[in-house]
Amino acid sequence: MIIGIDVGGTHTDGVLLVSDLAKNYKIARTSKVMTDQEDLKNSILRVLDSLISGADRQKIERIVLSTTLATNTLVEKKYQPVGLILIPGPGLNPEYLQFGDENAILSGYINHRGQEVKPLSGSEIKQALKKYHSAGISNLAIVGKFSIRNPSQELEVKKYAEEFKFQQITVGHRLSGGLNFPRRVATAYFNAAITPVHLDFIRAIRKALEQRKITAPLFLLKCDGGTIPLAESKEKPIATVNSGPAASIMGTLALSNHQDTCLVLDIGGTTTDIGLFIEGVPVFMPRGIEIAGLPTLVRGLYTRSVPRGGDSEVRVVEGRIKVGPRRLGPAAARGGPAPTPTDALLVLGKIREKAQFNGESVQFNRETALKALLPLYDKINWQQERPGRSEVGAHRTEPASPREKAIKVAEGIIAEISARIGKEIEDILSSLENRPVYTIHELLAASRIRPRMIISMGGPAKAFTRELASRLGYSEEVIPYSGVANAVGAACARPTLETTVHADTAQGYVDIIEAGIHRKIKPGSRFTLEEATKLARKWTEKRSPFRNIPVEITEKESFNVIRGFRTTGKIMEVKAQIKPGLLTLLGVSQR
Amino acid sequence: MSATGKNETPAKRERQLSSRKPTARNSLGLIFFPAFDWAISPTHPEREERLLYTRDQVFEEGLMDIENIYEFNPGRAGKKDVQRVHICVPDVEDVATDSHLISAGGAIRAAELVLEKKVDKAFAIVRPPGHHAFRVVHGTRGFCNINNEAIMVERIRATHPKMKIAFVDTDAHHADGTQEIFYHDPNILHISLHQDGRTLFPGSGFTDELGGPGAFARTLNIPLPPGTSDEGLHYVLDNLVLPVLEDFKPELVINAAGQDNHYSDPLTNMQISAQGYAELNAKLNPDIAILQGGYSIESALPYINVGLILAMAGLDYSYIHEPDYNPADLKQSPAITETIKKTVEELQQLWQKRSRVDLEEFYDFTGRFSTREKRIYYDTDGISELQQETVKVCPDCPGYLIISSTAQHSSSFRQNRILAVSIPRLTCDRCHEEARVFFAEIEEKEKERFDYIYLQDLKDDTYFRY
Repeated sequence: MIIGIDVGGTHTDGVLLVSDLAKNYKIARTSKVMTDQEDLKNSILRVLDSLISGADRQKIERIVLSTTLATNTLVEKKYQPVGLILIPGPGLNPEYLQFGDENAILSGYINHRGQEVKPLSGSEIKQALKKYHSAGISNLAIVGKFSIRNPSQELEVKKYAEEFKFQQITVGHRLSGGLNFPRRVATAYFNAAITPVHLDFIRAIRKALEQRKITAPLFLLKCDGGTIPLAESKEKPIATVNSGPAASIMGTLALSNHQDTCLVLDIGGTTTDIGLFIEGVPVFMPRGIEIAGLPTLVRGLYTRSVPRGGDSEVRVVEGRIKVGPRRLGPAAARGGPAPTPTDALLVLGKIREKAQFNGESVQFNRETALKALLPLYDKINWQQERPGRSEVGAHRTEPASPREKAIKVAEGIIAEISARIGKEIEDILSSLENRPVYTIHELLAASRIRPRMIISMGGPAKAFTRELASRLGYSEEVIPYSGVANAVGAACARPTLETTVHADTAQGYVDIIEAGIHRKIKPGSRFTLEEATKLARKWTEKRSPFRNIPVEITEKESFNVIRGFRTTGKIMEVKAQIKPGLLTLLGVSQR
Repeated sequence: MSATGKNETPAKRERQLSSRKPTARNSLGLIFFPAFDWAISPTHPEREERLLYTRDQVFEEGLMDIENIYEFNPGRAGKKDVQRVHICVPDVEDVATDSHLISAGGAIRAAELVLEKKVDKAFAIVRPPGHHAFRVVHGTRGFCNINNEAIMVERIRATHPKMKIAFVDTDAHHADGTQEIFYHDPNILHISLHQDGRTLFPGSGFTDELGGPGAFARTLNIPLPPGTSDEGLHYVLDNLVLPVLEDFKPELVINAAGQDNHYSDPLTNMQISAQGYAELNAKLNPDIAILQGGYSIESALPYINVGLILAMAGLDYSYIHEPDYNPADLKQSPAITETIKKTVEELQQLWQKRSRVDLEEFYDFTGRFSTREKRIYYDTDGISELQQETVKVCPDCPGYLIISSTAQHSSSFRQNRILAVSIPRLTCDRCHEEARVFFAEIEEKEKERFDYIYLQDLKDDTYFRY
């Protein structure tokens, strides 16, 4: 048995997966409660209790949680103060990077080869730590430029901080193997900010499971669509931020299991989130996701949010139909205050008055929808409004009856949304196709990404998807169980891991960055790209909580270091990963 | 900032985070293409490793994330783009590989971005460089095969034929190729600041190289003594380059941004620092910058390029300096200062009286044609070229060129003799007709004497080889 629970903004959903003898899993139970934002733990436990009532707790293989805890804490900025310690060296003005509630800039300096150019000053460190102490700060983030090439200065500051008894200390070099000091600083700051809340949460959940005599391992879902064992999440809780959209993409994967290139639409009340699989593999955000408007090094799945959803307010501005970005309430046909795209679908007969959304039955009133759309007709400048592709001739002749007028408005609304989403999709594809490359080989090999199918989930998804897909020229599929797709995504996802091996044989160092290893290469040993690759593979396997998940090498580069016409060494970098995927497959009947 | 972390409010944090994003004052397009899979040869300065440390520094500084800085891939220059500038012997494919076409494509992308107003400025950090490639190309010289910036200019002029464009080439080596290509072009002002040619390749770039009779003082050369520092460079900039640009009023300023003036460069003897470069760029305020040479790949390029990017974007570059930067070590001697002042004074005077010079006397020609002989040495490929270039001097237009060239390959005893007629885009109808008649004649009569005969007709946009 596997349990997946997704804490969303409105609902907390859960699924219990049970396998038959052939290890085919199926959804045995689902559960849904309203999320109590003040007490996420309670919402989780209510779902958990309902899923396991009467079940054999010893048979639970794992529990996977996707929570909004990190996201909420950061969005609402309700966290304890963070003291930031920067070791920037020369470069960009470090003024830009003082995100902390208190900030100190130290005068150490590590260069791009990982060489210490300028040592730290002990008295500077102590002075900063004393200042933070008296300001009542207990969370620290210590970040150095090029610390992933040589973490010694970050570690030196950490040592001082431990002597000063600071409780939670985030060091920049452990967060990602990627270069980018400003992102490292933002990531470390956010990581430090959520660490205390995260640790409290872990303690509370552990205790609750103990009380229920559940011994199964517990995992959290990360925003890259992979899971992480609870204990390991302590060092880098920031990885669990934004897991909701990742859960939805992994859920789509689990419930459809397509191996080709598809778009994923999650059509909600206010927004439509667009994601993408390339040959069945979810695509990452380049460089890392943004948190609270700041770019970070947190690896996350590619999603783009378009402010168009089923309940978006529809207005006419200067003769043109405008959908969103606000949501004033439910659809007019459900007693809401403004016309919405859902009303448009009702008027067009694409949704029935008695509808089933995510297992909930919903009652609409088509007449109300019609009345809500009708007043827009006269405000629209039909000359400039791009005509939607409607039933033959519908917009050619002047509509006479109120019903015909409402239909024409509804057509216009759906056309606006599909044009906007279509444009957004084009934009996503072209930005991925034109992503910067740095070798002639890659530049000449650049290929086009052409998905042919839209997979969707969410509320009135079915009707919307059909409309969008046919207007934009895609085939469509609406996944079943979409009401609990996020929980299914959490339950089925496998762990993800990344390992970056950076070796500079001229300097005589190798870094296994995500494992926190910075060590000398044995003098005289000839370290090769093959060995770097082996190391990357080995350390990825070693850190994985499950065996037999394939590790892939995603990047490999090697440069000869030549000084005065002589090769003095090599600089190599190899990245290995376990990419997001499914640990558990649902039986065919479930897809 | 409050000292008592406890009363931090979410609203204050909102401000704190949102105010921290730097925004470029000038939107900047970056074409960063290090060509990590290409080298002239494994240990050549123009090798895979050249922009490795620059990439590390640029990425670690997070410059690509700065609001208003955008990254683009280069395109690939087409055959016609190359033919508009070069007469490649025997043909474009023999001289320019993908790496060269992509490097030129990076420059073209920079120009497109600026002219289409997608960005205010663009910087092409591409390799290999181009400024030593002449109009006739027999091989590689000064690590250059085709002239990226000249190819870019001809692409620009395909849609803006009369645009006035200024080059300021700050590479330590004289930009002899670009100078030669536009030597007779009155719409291009080409200024090169470089280490004195008596002490460095290519051995040219003296104050008396001033452009052809139809483009007098459109070529200016400022040779700088070895040991020149930021002080000397900025003296030239303030007292000569900027006032000349002020007078010329270009519609587009291009900085050929060579970075081998740096005090740590292994191939030159100059004393410029990253700060000096960045400040130069800020003062010059170019629309487009294109990387040229610069082979102190570890100690200079990472810092100079970050400085240039910030300066072009209008951001604070004052925190950038090299690990071993010490201004006291980089002071230039009074003798150098004196020499630079004299050179600047000479050129100032010349610039002032540029419209009053007797060109026939200056160029020592009578009638309608002016001829010069050139010996061009291809250091990289070991080729000696002897060239005779005759320009038709026309009061109404830039005239046309007749070029005969013999190239001796030192390695293979191979010799190529070519003859070419080159017709600029803005040549008047009479000269155009005359050049075409001349070409038809030589095509008939001179076939036997030359290996190849070329027509480069920009006015008709047609290019032939026989």
